[in-house]
Amino acid sequence: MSTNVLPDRSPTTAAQRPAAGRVRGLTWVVLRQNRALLRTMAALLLLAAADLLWIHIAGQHTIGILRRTGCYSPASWSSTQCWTLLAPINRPTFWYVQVLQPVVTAIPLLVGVFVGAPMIAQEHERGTIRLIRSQSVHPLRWLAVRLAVPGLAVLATTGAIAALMSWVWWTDIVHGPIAFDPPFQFFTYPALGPAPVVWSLFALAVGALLGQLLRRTLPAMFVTATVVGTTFGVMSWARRYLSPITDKVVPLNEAQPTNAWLIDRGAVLADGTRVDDEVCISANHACDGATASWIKYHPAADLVPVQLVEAGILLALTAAALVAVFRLARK
Amino acid sequence: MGDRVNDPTNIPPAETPLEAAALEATGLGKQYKGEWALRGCDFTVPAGRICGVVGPNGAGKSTLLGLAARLVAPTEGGLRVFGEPGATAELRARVSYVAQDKPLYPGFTVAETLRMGRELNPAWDDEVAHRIVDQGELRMRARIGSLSGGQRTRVSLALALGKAPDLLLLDEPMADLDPLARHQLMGTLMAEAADRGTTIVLSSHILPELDGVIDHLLLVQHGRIRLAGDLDDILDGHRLLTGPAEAPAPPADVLVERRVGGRQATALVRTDAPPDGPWEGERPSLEDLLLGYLRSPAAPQPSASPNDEVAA
Amino acid sequence: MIEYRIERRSGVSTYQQIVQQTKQALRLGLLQPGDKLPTAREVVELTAINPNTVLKAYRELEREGLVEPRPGLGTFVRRSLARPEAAADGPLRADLVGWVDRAREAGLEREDIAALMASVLEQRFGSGVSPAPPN
Repeated sequence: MSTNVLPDRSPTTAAQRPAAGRVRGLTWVVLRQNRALLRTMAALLLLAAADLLWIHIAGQHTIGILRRTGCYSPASWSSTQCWTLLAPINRPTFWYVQVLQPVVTAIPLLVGVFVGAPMIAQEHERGTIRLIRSQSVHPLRWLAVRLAVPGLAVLATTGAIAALMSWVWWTDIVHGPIAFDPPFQFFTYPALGPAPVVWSLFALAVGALLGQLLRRTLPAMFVTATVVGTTFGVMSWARRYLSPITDKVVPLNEAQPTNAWLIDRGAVLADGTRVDDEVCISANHACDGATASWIKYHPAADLVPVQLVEAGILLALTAAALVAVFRLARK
Repeated sequence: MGDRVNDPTNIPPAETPLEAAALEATGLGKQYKGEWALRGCDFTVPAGRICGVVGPNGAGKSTLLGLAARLVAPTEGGLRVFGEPGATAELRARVSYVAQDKPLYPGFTVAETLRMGRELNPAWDDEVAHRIVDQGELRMRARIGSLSGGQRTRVSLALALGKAPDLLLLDEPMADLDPLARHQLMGTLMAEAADRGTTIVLSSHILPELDGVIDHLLLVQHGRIRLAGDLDDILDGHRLLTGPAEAPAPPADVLVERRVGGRQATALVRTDAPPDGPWEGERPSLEDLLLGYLRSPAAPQPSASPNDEVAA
Repeated sequence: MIEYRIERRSGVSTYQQIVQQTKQALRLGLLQPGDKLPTAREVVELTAINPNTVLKAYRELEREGLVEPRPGLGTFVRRSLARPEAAADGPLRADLVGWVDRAREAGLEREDIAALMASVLEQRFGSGVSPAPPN
C-alpha cells in the first residue's frame, strides 16, 4: 500500500479534490443551469467568426487579384476580363450584407426573448425560486449571479461578433471596390460598433424585468418582444436627433455626400424661402424658379457620436431595468 | 441546537427553557388579494418537536409553512423562528423547506442536484443526502426531469436533510409516495430528528401518516388555528363518548362533534372530566380527534375570544 | 437485539407498545441483563415513529428498574422478568403446548383458543390484564 503521503493531505481534502481552478458555490450552480445557453452561444460565436474570416479572406484574395491585374478601379470594369475577375467578390459581399447583417440585427430580439424573458420567469413558473430561497445563499446574491452569468456571456459573445462585423465592414465592405453600404441603413447600423452589444444587454435586462413582473415564461417572451421592438422603432426615429444635423445649401439637385444619411431636402426659391421636396412634388409649380437645393443630413462621420449617445441611453435604460429587478426581488 | 437526543442515555429535558421556540406566532395573518389565507394565529412550537400541521386543503397550511420558510411575508402579526423575527443569514442556513410541488431543476442530474446542495449550504452533510438517494435506488446520473413524483420527493428530501437543518419544514411531503417509500422516508426523517434533535414541522391531510409520528399539533381550519399544543395534552383534554342514540347531547360549550348511527351515538367533547349520564368515555385516538374537528368546522361555539380553543 | 413492531391501528399507544414489547422480551428471556437496547435512532429508522416516544418508553422502563442508561454507551437491561418456569424448555410451557394441541384437535380455531385463554385469565386475575393507562 502506498500510504506514504504528505501528512497534511487529510482524506477529506483528497476526497473533495483540490479546488484550484474549479468553479464553486453559486457560480457553479448558475453555470450548470446555463450550460445549454453557453454552449449555444459559443457555437454561434464560432460560426459567425468563421463566416466573417471567410468573407475577409475571400474578399482580400479577390482584391489582391484585382490590384495585380489593374482591375481595381471601376474605370477598368468595362473590360470583360476585369468583370470576370471582379465577379467572385459578389459572394462574400452578398453574404455579409444580405445574411449576416439582418441576423446580427435580430440578435438583441432573440437574446431578449429566449434568454432574458425565461431567465427569471421560468424560476417562478417551475417553482425553483422557492428551491433557491430555501438554500443558505442570500436571495439577492443569487439573483446577481443569476443575471451576471448570462449577462457576461451575452456581453462576450455580442462583443466579439460586433468587433468582427465592424472590422470586416470597415476593411472589406465599405472600402471594398464594389459595395455601397451607407452605415445608417436599416440593417447596417444595428450590426456596427457597440450597437449589437448594448441592444442585446438592454433586451436581456428588459426580459429579466418582465419575467420578474409577469412570472410566466410565454407572456414574458411576448411582451419582451413587443417592448424591445417598440424601443427599436422609437430609437430608429429619434436617432437623427442624437447628434447635430448638418444643414447645407448646395447647387441645385446636388446629392448628399457619399454614405451620408439624408434626413430631408428641398428647394431654395429666388426669394430665399425654403420649400420641402414633398411640397414641390405635391403642389404644381411650387418650386419653379428654384435657385439652389438645401439638404439636411448626417455625414458618415456622425456614425460614431450617434452610436455612442445611443449606447449611453440604452445602458442607462438597462441599468434602470436591473435596479427594478432587484427592487421587485427585495419585496 | 443544543437539544441533542441521539444518545438515549443522555435524555434531554423535553423543553430547554433557554432555547427559543422553533416557531412562535403572535397575531399572525396573511392576506392574498383581499382574502385572508391565515388570520389571528397564536401558537408556539418548541424546539425538538415533530409537529403536524393538519387541516383540509386550502385551510392555510401551505401559507403557514411559507411564512415560516420566509418565502411569504406576513400581512399582520409576526412569526418568530428560533426567536428571530425576520430573515437572517443564520436562519437561512438553519431552516430547510420542501414545497408541496417539490421544485427541482429538471435539467440537472440527481448527482448535480446534490452537488448544488453542497455548493449552496456550508453545513452540508453529503453522507445523509446520499443515503436517502441510495435508499430509493436512484441512479445518480438520472435527470430530474425523467424521475417519477415519488423519486423527486426523495431527491427533495435528500436536499433538505443534507443541509443539516435545525428546523425542517415539509409541505405535504409524502403525498406522492407509495406506502413502502413513505414508511422508509418517515423512518429516515425520524432518525434524523433522533440524531440531530431537528425540529420537524410537516403538513399533511393524510391522517394515518401522522399517527405515532407527531408529538405536537397545529390544526388549521379556514385560516384559523383551532388546536395547538402538545399532542398528549390535547388528547388528554378530550373524550370520545359512546352512548345510546337517545342520550342527551353533552353541553354545547364542550361538544366538538356528535354523530348518531343507528341506536348508538358518539360524541367528541373537549373536557377531561368523566362523562355525565349514559355515556362511556375514552381518550380519543389522533384520528378520532382530527376527524371530529374536521367534520365540524364550526363547533364548539367559542364562548370567549376566537382563540379560546387554542388549548394546551 | 430486540426489534420493535409497531401496530398503528391497534389502539394501543406506540409508547405503550414499546414498553410492552420490551417487557415481553424480558419475560421470555429474549433480553437478558446486560443486553443493550437499540438506540432511539435505530428504533425510529425502522418503525418511523417519533423518537421522543422511544425515549419516553425507555424512561418508563428505567423508572420501573428494568433498564439503566450508561452514559455514552446506551441503554442496558438491568433485570430480567424471565421466570424459569416460563422458559422455552420449562414444564409449564410444555403443558400449555399440550393443552393447545388438544384444543386444536377438538376443532378450536386460533381465535377460539385466544378468547378462551383471555376469559380464563380474566376469571383468575380480575381485570388487571389490560395495560395500565399512560401516566
